[in-house]
Amino acid sequence: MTGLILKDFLCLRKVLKSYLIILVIYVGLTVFGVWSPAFTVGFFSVMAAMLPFTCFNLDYTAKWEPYGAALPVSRNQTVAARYCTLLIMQGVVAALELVTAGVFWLAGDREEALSTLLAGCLCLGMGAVLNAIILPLIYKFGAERARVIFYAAFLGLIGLAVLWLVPLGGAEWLMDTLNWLEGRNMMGLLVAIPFLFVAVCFLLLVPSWFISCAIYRRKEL
Amino acid sequence: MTNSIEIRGLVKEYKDFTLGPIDLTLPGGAILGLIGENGAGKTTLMRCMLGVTVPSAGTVSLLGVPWEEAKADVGVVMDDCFFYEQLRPKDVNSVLKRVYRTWDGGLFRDYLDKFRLPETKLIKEFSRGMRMKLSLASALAHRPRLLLLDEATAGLDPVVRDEILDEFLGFVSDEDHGILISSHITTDLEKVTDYIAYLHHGKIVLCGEKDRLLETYGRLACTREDLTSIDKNDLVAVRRSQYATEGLVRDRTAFARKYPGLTVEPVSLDEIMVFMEKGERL
Repeated sequence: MTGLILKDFLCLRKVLKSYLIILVIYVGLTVFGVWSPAFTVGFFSVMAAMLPFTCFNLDYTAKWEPYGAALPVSRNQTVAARYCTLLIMQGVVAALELVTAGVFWLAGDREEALSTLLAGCLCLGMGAVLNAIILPLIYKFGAERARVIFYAAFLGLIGLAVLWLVPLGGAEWLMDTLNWLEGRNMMGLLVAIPFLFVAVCFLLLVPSWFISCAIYRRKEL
Repeated sequence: MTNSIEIRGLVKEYKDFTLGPIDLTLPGGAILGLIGENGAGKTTLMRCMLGVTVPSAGTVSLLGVPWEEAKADVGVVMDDCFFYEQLRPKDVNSVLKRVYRTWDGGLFRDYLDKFRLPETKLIKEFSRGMRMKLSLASALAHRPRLLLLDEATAGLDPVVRDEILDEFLGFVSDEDHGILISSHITTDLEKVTDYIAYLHHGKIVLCGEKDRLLETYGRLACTREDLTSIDKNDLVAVRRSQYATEGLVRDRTAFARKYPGLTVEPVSLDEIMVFMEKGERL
């Protein structure tokens, strides 16, 4: 399985190099105040979350799947390798976010440190949710069709969220909850929410992996 | 001695095509050539043997065990290079040594040297011949006991093909080893194979020792009038054109004894294939 993870990273070498260049530019722009650190860490979380798409496209172009199935690696391990690739990339991004937030914290800018951490958590969590949904779809329909289905589902979810927040009174409910917490001096709980959010989002990858395995085991390659 | 391949009652059903039922045995130390027209089911059969495609029925046993347990001892070359163009042979080494427990990096580098493949050059800069050699080096470097080769010599020049065929012959000098090779280049198969299986519309219509097939089958050249005097059971298929009438004979010695006035010549695998595909069955 480690061979398959290594294969993914070797194939992504060129893409990762270009990401590194973009990272340097973005960090420079952030230092000069063009945009906030929260934007930069969020941007790279999203970029990392999109990398599995690239892996699947590279597999397709190289006609790897039939050959990969002939290797002495089970299909479950093949799927697990792809999820591990994703987790490693997300882990690297999380570490970068923590370092960035840490730098601001040590520099005394606690507000910037917290906003960086919040943005990072939100984007990391969203990236995990995105992949938890999209990976089984890719195993079922292939990268291109899955992309279309995903965007349709994503827009649908945003639509539902907006519907819940405005006409259905979700925003009012949120404000009431915040007021309720504030009234009982429980605002400290809010600090834990981003981390809890990331943990829940990453836990979604577990059922996603089981679904992907079930699909891939029966797939004709 | 363990059979390299044992296939029993293998069937793969698609909406518009059915492969099988296939029964096939390859003894150890031998090379089996799989021939057939495009779409006959050769690649599907190979894929079923490797678990790439799930068969509808039947069993596949490789090296005496179910295919799942034999994968580590099987080397595979598919009709196209499966490696990513942005990788280099040294990357392939790094990846596959983590996949195969028996991977021998030194042997892989020996094959790269033997095939004159630069270790650090990008695969996208390789010619088709170089890519096939790389596939072969990868298939051999984990010291497999069975090679499954799908169109491994297609599109290669005669010199490269000759080098690769020599490699195959060296491989089966160990009687524990076996090769199944599918190819349209029947002259290659005539050079190296011990057995031939001819797949036609998903069924094996001809299977046996290559030498025996080439010694017994024959091509009859005759006139339309001659044809009327021949027992239909003595001919496998007939081809008629404006200028000639030809027949495929199953046993040319017996045929010559029965019809001394007619000429029967040895036949090549190519000619057998053309008769089977385009000839009229009697």
